Amino acid sequence: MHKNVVDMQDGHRNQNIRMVDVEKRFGDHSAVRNLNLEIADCELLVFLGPSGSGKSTALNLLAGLEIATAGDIYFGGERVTEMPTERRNISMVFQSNTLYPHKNVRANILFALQIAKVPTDVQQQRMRDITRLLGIERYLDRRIDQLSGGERQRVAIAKALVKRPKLFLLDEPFAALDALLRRELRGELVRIHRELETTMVFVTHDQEEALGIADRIAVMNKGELVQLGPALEIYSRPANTWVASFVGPHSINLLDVQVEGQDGAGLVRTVAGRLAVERTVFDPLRQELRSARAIVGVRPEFTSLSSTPSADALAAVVYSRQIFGSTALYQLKADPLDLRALVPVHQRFDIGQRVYARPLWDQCVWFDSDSKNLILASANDDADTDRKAARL
Amino acid sequence: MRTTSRRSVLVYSGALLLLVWTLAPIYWMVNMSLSTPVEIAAGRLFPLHPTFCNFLRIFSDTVSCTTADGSQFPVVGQAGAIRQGLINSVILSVTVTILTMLVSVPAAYAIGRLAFRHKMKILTTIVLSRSLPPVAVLIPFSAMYADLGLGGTLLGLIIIYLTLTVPLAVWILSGFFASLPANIEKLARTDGCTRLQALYRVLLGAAMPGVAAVAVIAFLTSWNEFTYALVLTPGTDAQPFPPTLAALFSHVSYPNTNAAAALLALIPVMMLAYLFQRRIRSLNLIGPI
Repeated sequence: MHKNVVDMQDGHRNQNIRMVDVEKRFGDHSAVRNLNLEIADCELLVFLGPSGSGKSTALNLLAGLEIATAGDIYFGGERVTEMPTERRNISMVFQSNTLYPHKNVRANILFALQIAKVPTDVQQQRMRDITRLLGIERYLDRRIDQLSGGERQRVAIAKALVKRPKLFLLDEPFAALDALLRRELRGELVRIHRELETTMVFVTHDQEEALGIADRIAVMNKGELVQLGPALEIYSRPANTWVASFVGPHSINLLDVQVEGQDGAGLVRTVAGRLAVERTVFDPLRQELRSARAIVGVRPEFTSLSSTPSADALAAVVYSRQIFGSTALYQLKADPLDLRALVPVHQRFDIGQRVYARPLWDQCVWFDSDSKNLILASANDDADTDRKAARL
Repeated sequence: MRTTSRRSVLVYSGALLLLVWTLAPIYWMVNMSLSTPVEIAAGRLFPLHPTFCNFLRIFSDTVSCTTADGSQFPVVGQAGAIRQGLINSVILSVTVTILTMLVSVPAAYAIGRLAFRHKMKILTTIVLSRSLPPVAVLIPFSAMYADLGLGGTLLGLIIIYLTLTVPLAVWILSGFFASLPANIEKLARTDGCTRLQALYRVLLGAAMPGVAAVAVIAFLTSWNEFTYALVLTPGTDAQPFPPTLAALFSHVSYPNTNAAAALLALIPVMMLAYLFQRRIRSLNLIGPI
């Protein structure tokens, strides 16, 4: 009570959402452990992780559909750990096909407002606003089974937003839709987020989706929060090799290397041969390293290919090729290593051809070979990343 | 285009044939019930002088009836039994329907929506119990009922009819509940419903087409049941309409009057089918979407 008064006098109430030491166990299995997280007011946070990582459990804990075994959850200053779902003023969108099948679109959208006993004229006004925002005015009198998958999810989002929730939760809402529709609705969601200024928490296993929409990403694995940060940071500074492999459009090349300094020149040795390393990268690396061994992560999009040998490239043979339009992904054999390189499509190499794969050292990430944790990320500013990406 | 229209011609003629096939006996019953014995003997397809005498003599033991063509309709003397039979059947069917829904909706909800051990075994047992032919359990039932004093009572019939309706209702409804969207209760909670509201406002609402259809099935099962009623209630005040009808057939030699009585059994069935046709159609025994 006292706290509320203080907040109100302050004029600017803290609306942040906090999860403190949250744990959720199902029997012996611990679905979420040690979860500490603060979600800023109006932020779009994405829980990203494979199935069984605890990301959906984390969302259900925020919704009150599951109650934490230990730890606390706060909405603003209020502790809501055990508060039942219906009193939390949240909305949730589930995987496709979660609407009331016996109600038409209009009745689906109005239901939450009717439960909350909002005056009828306010209900109508809000429904007009939200259906216009989502472009579903035409469907109001349709039955749910007369809508396509994409239209259903638009209705589900409208239904969730019409009650103006404090927190908007989305549990893999686009997973069942086809790729094009998924991208379209993602774009729509980002626009709605800007327009409505609502706090959103989005759960997905799709790293492309996470990178595409998130303000910040919380990467989950085996019930633990592995990394929390701005979307691009997850991509360019992955906390460990697992995150590096999980996030990114193409699977990253992870090479075990022996770091060998020679006078005036950096050198790493892989099982497939030696590679010269630029001094600007090598010197800081030497300072961070505690042993001579390391793992270097080279993304395919930061690997260039050439038909002429050089000291900073590994000899390999083209194993396979996929063309994506403006780029082509090459799978390479540099015995005993398998490598991947994404290069502009006009640089043609044939299957079986001998090529030389060169890491762009200033875009590589280095990990400790024992702990697998990040030691050094060479690309430190976004502008640099953009420049490299533009080069492709 | 041409193939489409040719196909629809085929489909519609097939449907017409089926319709005639189904409705012809019913039409014949209506025709007979409105005709005099003379007209029927002449093989007329429709009555020249339609008369309600056939219905009147079923319900009245005092008024005799003469038609325009001079046919005499003496009283039948079964009016009391027929009235009682109809009343018994209505009481039975309504009670059985209500009790069936009270038992099977919660049971079907549990089987269709909740996870618990041995769920499939329980469902299979319930469904299998329905596969026994009534004749097989008739003798144990009559023996038990003789001891319990339930023979010749409506309560006795209600209990037996529930063993017919509940398994079927649980089976159909549990499939219906299972086919509703997986997170629909959770959606209701996030919409502001309490646990209980989520159940009765949302889940039950969504299951309504199935519930209505199953209620109709329960009603018709009790309304049409013949075997148990014939063995357990003849000659008592608890005799429902089907055995009464059978008795009438053997006592009265006027086919027109028998047709009128049989038509009475059909009227509530047709009313139900008309009232619930939309709900029943939307069931499809598969699910809502």
